Amino acid sequence: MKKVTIDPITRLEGHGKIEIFLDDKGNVANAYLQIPELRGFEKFCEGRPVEEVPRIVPRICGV
Amino acid sequence: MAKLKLALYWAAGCGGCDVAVLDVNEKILDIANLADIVLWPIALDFKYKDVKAMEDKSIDLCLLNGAIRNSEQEEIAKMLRAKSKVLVAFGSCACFGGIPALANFSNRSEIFQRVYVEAPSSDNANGRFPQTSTKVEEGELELPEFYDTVSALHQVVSVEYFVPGCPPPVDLILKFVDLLATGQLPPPGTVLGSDKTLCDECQRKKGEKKISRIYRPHEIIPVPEQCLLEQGLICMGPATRGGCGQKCINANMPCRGCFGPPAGVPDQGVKMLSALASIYNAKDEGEIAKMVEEVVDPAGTFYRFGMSTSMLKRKRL
Amino acid sequence: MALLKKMLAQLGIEEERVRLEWVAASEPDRFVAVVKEMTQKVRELGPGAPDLVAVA
Repeated sequence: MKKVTIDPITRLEGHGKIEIFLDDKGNVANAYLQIPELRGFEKFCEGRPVEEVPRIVPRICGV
Repeated sequence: MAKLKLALYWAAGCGGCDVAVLDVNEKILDIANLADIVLWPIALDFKYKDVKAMEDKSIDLCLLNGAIRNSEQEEIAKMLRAKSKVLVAFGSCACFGGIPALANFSNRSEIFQRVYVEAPSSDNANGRFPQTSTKVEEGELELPEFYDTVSALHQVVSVEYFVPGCPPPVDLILKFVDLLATGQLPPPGTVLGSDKTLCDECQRKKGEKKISRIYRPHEIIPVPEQCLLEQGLICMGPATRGGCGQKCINANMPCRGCFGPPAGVPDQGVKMLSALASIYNAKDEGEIAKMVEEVVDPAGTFYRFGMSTSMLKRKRL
Repeated sequence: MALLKKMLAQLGIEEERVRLEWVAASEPDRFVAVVKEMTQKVRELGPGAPDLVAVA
């Protein structure tokens, strides 16, 4: 199947990639959005003092 | 004069550094006069394949923010290194690992488990994790490999300049652009900012540094004019490069070290530990133990932005 | 030292890997004893931090 890749998706915050599979007629058979990033804030905030968390989590998104 | 080719890219970052560049406001027009932007995912539509097609060293300046924590980020960093004459580690994440490097207290397995299974907002009864390769009906999908360890940019590729800050202050960015435009770039390897510590430029009154209690920031309201460290708050000033304009200090909050260590200091965390220990008045074992109790998260505080460039880099696997 | 040990524990380094002793030049036996003890202890603990590289 023909595959059209859009990588990266742009003009937004974050990383994303779209894979579009086309059938023989050239119509979209299926499309997949993938997020090729993960930082793990949910894990590394564990063990940090609670009063520091408001200084850490704004770095989830700077926009 | 031909316009410079400028690329801006983000690895494991938050977009704050890109916004900081936009924060130069009307001066962005000066930048537009100076350069043609050939890659900037937050603002423009160029794709990886466009970069792949560029000739080596055809990009005059690449500002890369964000840390390196997966194979795609490493690959793009290497690609941009090959295609760029000058590569700048832009922002604390690229310079030192930044906040994402706090993940070095953990590893892939623990992070995946927490994010995809345990987190209250996850609905994943089958415990499925992202895979580097997944077969679907139509073909195959790929994802980058998630590393156990977060690296700073220069630990993966060579870097000419470091612009620290979370995010880099607007005037530091403009200073760099100005140095570039006037052909006055400092020697490669230079970290922008002051060579001295934050304490050196901090406007607060410094008296005698002797404390007998360490407070967590929410426990007291600091007096505005006096050194925060002297008031018992852990302020990373003594172990942090100056040049940021003491924005946090001016907001009555102690520094957390986002400009990285000062010139000539290889490890920011032990520098701070040493500084703190030297001002604490502890006469016996009991008082020492009390002090240790009062520092609730030494590694996470002293290495808040600098885990990747610390001597140990990560918690033992 | 106590604070250092607390910080190292967070990084997965056992506190026995770090030790501070004051030994005078006139205390050779003590020097030997301390070095032997420490060497044995570290050997028991096994390899420590992975590639402890010089910081760039």
